[in-house]
Amino acid sequence: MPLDAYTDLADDALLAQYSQGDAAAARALIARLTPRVFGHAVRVLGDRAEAEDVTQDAMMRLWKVAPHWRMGEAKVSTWLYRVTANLCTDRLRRKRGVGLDEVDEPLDPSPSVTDQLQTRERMDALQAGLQTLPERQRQAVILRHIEGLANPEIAEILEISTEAVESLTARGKRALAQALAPAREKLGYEDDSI
Amino acid sequence: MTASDKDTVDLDMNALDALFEQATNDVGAQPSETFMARVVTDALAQQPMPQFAQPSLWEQITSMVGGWQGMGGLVAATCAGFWVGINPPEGLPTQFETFLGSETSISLLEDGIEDTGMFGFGWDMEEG
Repeated sequence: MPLDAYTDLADDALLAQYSQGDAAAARALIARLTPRVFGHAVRVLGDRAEAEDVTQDAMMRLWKVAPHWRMGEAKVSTWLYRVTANLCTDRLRRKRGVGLDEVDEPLDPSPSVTDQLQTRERMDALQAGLQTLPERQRQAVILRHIEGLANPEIAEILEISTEAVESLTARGKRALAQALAPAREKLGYEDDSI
Repeated sequence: MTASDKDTVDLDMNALDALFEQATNDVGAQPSETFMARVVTDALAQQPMPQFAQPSLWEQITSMVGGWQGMGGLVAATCAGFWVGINPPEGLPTQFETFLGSETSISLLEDGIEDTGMFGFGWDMEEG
């Protein structure tokens, strides 16, 4: 099958093809899903190496469940996001038990990054702001505002009600805006034009 | 919250939306090529072998005798044999004749003893 043909296939169809020994289907699925899973993990954890571990683990679970996957029952991406979200939660809980001295410092939006490009500076500031949010709020804000998922899908991923998602994202966004307020000038948001 | 505080938060909300938009397209949150290759390696290592359908019993039997051609020949030979068995052609000796020979006769009595038809009766008399 030509590679272009895989772009039209749904995730679960690709997963079924993978189970039947189609290596190209695996590559297509990886190209489609891995960047999304990794992006979520790196924003939640704030650490690329840890995000790689979590992504690798989540993808490995997908390969193991592939032969038993029931077509049309669940969305592969939703399932994968849920696994990733849970793995991130486990990591953050373990980190809390390690002690503050051993945890990497969150990225600081103040003077240490002023020599970087503004885009990088903004992304670092956003990451630092995200790290100040409680874990569930952080996951909800990332899924809603950065990954662009709809509230019902986020509810399925985080295994909470849609109303709870709305509440989490609203509170998270407010808290983030407050956390980043002192850095407005440095981020180039001093005037109203963005 | 004072009016000025609210203005600040509102302003940051707009900035935040712009930040989110930039973050969505941020290449810094993309996985490296090396990592993507590692995920592919994992996937291929975990991939089940291609499944081939198990041939049915009938398919196994036909393949044993050489497929449909072999099976056709076998059926034709069986029918021909059956027909010859129930309706042998003229001049073809029966299996019994072939085994014993058509001109052979056997005698169950010793030479010199005449089969009078009373032989068994004589034994009965002696025993009595």
